[in-house]
Amino acid sequence: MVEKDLIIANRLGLHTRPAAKLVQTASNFHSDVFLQIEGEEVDAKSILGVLQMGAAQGTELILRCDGEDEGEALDAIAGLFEDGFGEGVEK
Amino acid sequence: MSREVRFEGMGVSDGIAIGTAVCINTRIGDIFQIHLGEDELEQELERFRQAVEVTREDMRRLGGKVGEELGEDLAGIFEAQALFLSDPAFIDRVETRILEERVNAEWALQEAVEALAARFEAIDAPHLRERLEDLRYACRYVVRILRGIHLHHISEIEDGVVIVADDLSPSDAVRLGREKVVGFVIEHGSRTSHSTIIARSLNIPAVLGVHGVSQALADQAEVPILIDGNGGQVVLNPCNESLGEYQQRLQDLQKHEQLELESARERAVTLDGVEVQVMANIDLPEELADAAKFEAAGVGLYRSEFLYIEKSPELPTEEEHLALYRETVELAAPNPAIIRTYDLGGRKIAREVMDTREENPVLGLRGIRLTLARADIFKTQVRALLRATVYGDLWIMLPLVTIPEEIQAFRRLAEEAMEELEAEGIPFQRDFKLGIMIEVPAAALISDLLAREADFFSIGTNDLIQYALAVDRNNEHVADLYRPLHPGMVRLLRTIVSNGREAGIEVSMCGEMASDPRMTAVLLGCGLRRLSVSPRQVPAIKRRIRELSIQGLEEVVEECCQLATGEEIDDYLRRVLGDP
Repeated sequence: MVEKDLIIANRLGLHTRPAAKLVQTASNFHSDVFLQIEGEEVDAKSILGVLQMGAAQGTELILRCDGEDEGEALDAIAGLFEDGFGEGVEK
Repeated sequence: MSREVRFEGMGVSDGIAIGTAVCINTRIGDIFQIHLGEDELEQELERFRQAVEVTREDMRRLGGKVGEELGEDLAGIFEAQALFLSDPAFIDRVETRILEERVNAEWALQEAVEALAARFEAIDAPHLRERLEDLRYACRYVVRILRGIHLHHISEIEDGVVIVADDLSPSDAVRLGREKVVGFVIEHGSRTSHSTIIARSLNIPAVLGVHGVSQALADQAEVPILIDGNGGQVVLNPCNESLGEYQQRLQDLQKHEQLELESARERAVTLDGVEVQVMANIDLPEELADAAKFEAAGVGLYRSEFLYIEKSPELPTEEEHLALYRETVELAAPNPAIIRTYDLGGRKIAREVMDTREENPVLGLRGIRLTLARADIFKTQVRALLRATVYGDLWIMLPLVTIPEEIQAFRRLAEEAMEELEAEGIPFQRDFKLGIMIEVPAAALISDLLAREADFFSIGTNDLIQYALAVDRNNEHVADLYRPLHPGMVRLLRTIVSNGREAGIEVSMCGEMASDPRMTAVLLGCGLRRLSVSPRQVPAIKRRIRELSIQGLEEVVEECCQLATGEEIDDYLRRVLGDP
């Protein structure tokens, strides 16, 4: 299992478009992908789960991938967070 | 061939439409709970999975098609809807219900959605509620597939499309209006709902309150439909006679519009030689073409809200604002374009973007109050407005002002923005006109004091009447008390106009009252010489002005102010002026 600390950088947080992008990306991998926010864990392949987190800008979370392609999954998903889901990152 | 069926509704946007009926978002009708035997469950699961698979395929295909034709933003909606159906967390819930409760897939699906909806609504998160609509839409689609009804998308239909819906959100109406939609038939909604205003803005005939029409369409595809947006008639599967009648009426209407167009080009001068400026109210950029066609004397009210509604939950960028304002100002030139700063509160943007929620939004953080409270957000609009001043005669108007300090505070905000622009070397005009909407009774009464701070007034009658008479016209119990000619209203109007005149500033009216030819005589009698009306009403108002003489109208209004009720005023006006 691999994991990484991340922060939500895009201004509007995980609203529909980024959430959809996250779920689509996670679903491309065989590994289990989870996000942990304030002790709660959600399945990153579930749009319902991700939307219910309602995570806003600045939220810290832990990305956890577990499976045969966990390394690639971690890189791909962390990449999404790091460039603010293509919406630009405001510091 | 099916038989002709007629429905009656409320005609809210004039015109005749002949086309094909297309249902969107129709309620599925009753879903029955059917108990299944143990041996049927596996088959039911398979039926459900197949319907989900077909729906996902359709949505993917539609998303692709929509993406090519209308842009990736809209395609994203379909992708999000398809994602719900790929979510094991959701699919499992439905399958569990089928197995454990031994029920049909339609029932299990509906129950699963509603259980989820209840949970989402308990969580205090507006963005989830919006997504719930996506989920519901996706599930309705699945239910249709389960029932063997295939749902088409309007982009597949060749002829004029008449949208038939339970209700229509403003964003849907705008989106659909831009496609080849020729009419709207809506089961619910009211004369003053947003869909009505949009249908009128886009000049698309619409009939509301047509109960039962989507049910009548439920099992049929490609149903020919006629609608009369004036009389409120809707005809499904018309016989040849009805079709001929509507075709004739459509032709007459087009001929009439041609004549109207020719007369609209002339100026609006009264019989005794007084010229009145008839300007246009603009909600959507599409209406600018109409305003130009009817030679409106500029834009008297540009409502900047739709840009925000369209972009929500994101905020429009400075460049997006600028592009719209520039287009408006250039089209209005050499006449002025009056652009009102953002005026919505208690709505989508306030909830989603600014996270405010209020018990009584009509009396809450809206209009100029919201602009000043969130200067961090609205500075973008102010900068764009200032930048647009170089393209023509742009006047900035502030909504819902009640005290002079609000105008001063806005000037400070504009000053800040001007300093920024100067530092960045971006051009703008420093001496733009800054005016206010008069739409609160207290503001009307102190309009002499407000005139010291404002360069012009525009009377917003929709809110002024609502606040002055304490009547919500959307409330059927009191709607008949919504009377623009209440003597109290006439007195307020006179006060505003005479205060503005004394201070030497322009006074215009941009509320719906200005668009009603029955009101024109009273408005001129109050002293108004500038009316801003919906673009389609420009010809009618100009025509009415040409029939009147200013001479004597002031006395008529003086007399109105002495009468006790709206009826007395109506009777009196009919006696002295005749029916317009």
